[in-house]
Amino acid sequence: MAYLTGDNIITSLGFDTNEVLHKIESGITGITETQSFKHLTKAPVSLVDFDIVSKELSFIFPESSFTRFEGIACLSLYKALKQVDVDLESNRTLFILSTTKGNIELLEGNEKSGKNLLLHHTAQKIANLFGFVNQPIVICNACISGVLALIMAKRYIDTGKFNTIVVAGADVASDFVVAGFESFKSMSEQPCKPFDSTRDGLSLGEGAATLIITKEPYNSEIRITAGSSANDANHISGPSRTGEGLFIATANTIKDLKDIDFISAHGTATPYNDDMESIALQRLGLDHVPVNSFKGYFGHTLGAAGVIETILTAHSMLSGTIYKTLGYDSPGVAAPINIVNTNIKKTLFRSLKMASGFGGCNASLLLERNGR
Amino acid sequence: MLHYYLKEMEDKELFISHNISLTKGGVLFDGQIIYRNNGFQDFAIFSKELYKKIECNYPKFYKMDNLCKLSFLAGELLVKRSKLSNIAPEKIALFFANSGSTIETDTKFIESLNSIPSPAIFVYTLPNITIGELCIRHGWKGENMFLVQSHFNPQDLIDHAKYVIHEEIAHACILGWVEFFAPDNYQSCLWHISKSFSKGDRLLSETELMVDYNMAL
Repeated sequence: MAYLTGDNIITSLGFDTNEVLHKIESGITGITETQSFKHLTKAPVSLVDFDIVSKELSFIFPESSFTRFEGIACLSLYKALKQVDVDLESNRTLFILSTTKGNIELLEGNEKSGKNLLLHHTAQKIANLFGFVNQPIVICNACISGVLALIMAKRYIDTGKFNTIVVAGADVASDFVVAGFESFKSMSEQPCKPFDSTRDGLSLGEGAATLIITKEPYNSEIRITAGSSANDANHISGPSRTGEGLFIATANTIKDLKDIDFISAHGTATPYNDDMESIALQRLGLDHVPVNSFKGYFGHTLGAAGVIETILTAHSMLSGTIYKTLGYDSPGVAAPINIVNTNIKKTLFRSLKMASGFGGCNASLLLERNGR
Repeated sequence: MLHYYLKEMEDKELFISHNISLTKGGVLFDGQIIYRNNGFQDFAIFSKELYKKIECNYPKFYKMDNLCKLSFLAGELLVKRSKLSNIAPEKIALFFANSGSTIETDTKFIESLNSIPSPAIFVYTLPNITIGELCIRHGWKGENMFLVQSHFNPQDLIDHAKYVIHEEIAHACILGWVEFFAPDNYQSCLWHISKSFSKGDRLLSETELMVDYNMAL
């Protein structure tokens, strides 16, 4: 069984999971106006305070220097690994890094073809710093990278190849990524409004998260019990109108569609994505299940999103709370679904995390809590 | 119990039905030369020549970045010669890897920032788009995963192929290594992996994939 035994989240809302949860509970967003980007018009972004990251790192790793990407990834890993006694030097321990663009910021500077741009090099550098002996795995699969990394971890625990898997997801808001989303005109000029009738685009965010997955439960009550991915086979930059890939991925994940207590959707707040998710949920017969999106709190964190939001889903299950979809006021998606607009208390045994991304990719992950 | 599971998965062998290897020298199918790139022409010329020879009439090809063109051409050549069309599209999984992610297109996008950033370039700065293009072309809807490795390490791809076929999530896999560094430095290697043996198939192993990967023209 793949148990979730330790975690950390770093976003604009804070530097550990509890701090982030606390802000979410209070309905606070970290998406703010910024002048940090050359190609940005008006869109607000969720940014991490890197002065704090650098300061903390200088105490923990006084000998090392970090790029922004490496900095948030390493700080997150350090904080998560402190909670669990992981044998990093065991050949049964694996480190998986989920990211879309890693150190891409360096390409904007002098590093035209340097090795620091290569994701596997970055992952190895981080692995060496912490002392992982196995070669790390890098998953780079657009916005489903984080969920895919967790699916891979679950499978490696299942097969017995590894006993402990440390999954870190990270991405930074760079001029590169900001300009890219601007060129697609997919960013909203206000903090994003997932599933809302007036939603008009996403908010970008940066962040890192670490989730430690172990074969032994230790004190954990939550485990990953299934997961799968699928492709829409429709369009490289737009989701399927019928939710095809998400429907297949979710149907493969949950054979028994009854008894799903909560769904953490991808919910980017682009018109197409949120419509697509609603259609997939309706087709699956899950339209009555309470669903939220966390994107209104800290934006779309790309390669970190799946890891951050799975951790938040697990903590929702532990505290029996479904957090409201910040930014959502009035229904406005293609199919009627049960969007949560106020924090509610509910006992949660089985929860679903969904993600979709460019290239027509979709993924679903099932979390279960002991007890039912 | 987990060890039994691992053992069971190892016992249940998979098979390499076919392999396409496209490099600057030309194209190999199951180790046999099917196209030569006479004079080692640049990829821009060779890819167009190959596209015409294949006669696939797919204008979207011209919009793709070089990484996707590489996958697309290898995909066309593989599909023509394999029985992939007999398998349900949602049961075909695609697991790919390379070492440079989309470094060539990343550089092009950075250059476009000096004028108007181009969405048509930006979308290709994610390596899994190459899987997406294949899925759109052939209607495949199975699992997707793109890994970035320091060097070709087929075991990660094999582990995943075995898992999804053993668990019946997929009935066939396409494994791939697709890399574009420069007009004279590129490689596309695709394998059609099957769950049951047909005449001419090879047993799937790290060594066999390594042999194909290294046997470039």
